[in-house]
Amino acid sequence: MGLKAEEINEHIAWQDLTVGCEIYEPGTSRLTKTGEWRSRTPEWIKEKCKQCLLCAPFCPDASIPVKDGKRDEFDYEHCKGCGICIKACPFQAIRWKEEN
Amino acid sequence: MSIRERLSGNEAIATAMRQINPDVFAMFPITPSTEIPQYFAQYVADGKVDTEFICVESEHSSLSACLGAEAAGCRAVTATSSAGLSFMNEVLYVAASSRLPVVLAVACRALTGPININHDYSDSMAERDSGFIQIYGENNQEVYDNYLMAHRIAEHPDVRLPLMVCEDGFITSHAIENIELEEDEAVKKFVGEYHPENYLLKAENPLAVGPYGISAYYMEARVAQAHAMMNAKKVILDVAADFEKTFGRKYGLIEEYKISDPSPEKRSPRL
Repeated sequence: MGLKAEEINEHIAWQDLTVGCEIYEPGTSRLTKTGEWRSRTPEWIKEKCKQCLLCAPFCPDASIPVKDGKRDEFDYEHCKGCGICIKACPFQAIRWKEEN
Repeated sequence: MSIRERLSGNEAIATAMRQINPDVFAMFPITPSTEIPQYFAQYVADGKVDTEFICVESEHSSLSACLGAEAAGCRAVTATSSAGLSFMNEVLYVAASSRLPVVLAVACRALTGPININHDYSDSMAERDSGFIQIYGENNQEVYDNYLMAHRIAEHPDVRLPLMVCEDGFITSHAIENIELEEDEAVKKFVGEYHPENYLLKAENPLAVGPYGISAYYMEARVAQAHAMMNAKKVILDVAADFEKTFGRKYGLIEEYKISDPSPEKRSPRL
């Protein structure tokens, strides 16, 4: 079957690579911290949040975890800072974080 | 038993395609390769194949459709010439690096400048380093035979590279010659069915094809691809040996012409 995604790293040699760099399992984006690409960061203001859950399905990177019918803190390892959640929130409970 | 016929190179390729009955043919017409999908469309209309015949809007799209089909686990083919092959350029590299063994029939034709529809190799030679294996046939018989060997070479696990079956535009593609065809069942048995180990439609094994490869992976992947091309040398000879055993016509890596005796008096005069 070939290599597991978690076994693939930057020291890999050509003999060990999968054919055509194929990846033989799903959900491997969890292993890649795409949040590093972010230039601006959304911030969740818990006090204003009504838990309407409109933000979560709008997030293109599934970086708003929902558990037991409630959203939780952003997954900043994968949030790319697109700001769609800020637009989606009817209660201004998400805003851009002030950067230094 | 072989069947004596007289066919053009394009019809010979279309006949080989009919006998192989690929899963997908994504077509876009360009002279002089147009007859290949034209003949094949008739086979589709007549129910002689059950190929998914897709008429797309460009050569970039025809090869892209083939890639999608190959990744899904299908055997996919197309045909093109000249500017059509140049327009495929980007996708040729994707096919090769994704190691998807599409078989592409090329009726070689001059690229524009001055505009010309006749034969030279400026289209296929420009793609020499694209990662496609290229097999050139000198006449209709060789083109037909090369096509019968093409899928087995391209799909071999040690190779898994896309492949061009090249013929000379008009000189081969349109000229009608005597040819020995093989029986449909014998061809099907020789070529075999395509059963890739991993493919997108294999539900129990989710697969990602063509992922992003940063520098650390890029060169390793390129070396792996180069080795696949080197492996092709042996696979081509193995398939050719089986072809000779099965159908009686012998092929090697190159056809020699007066190279065994390089004595000066037998050499061609210098121009």
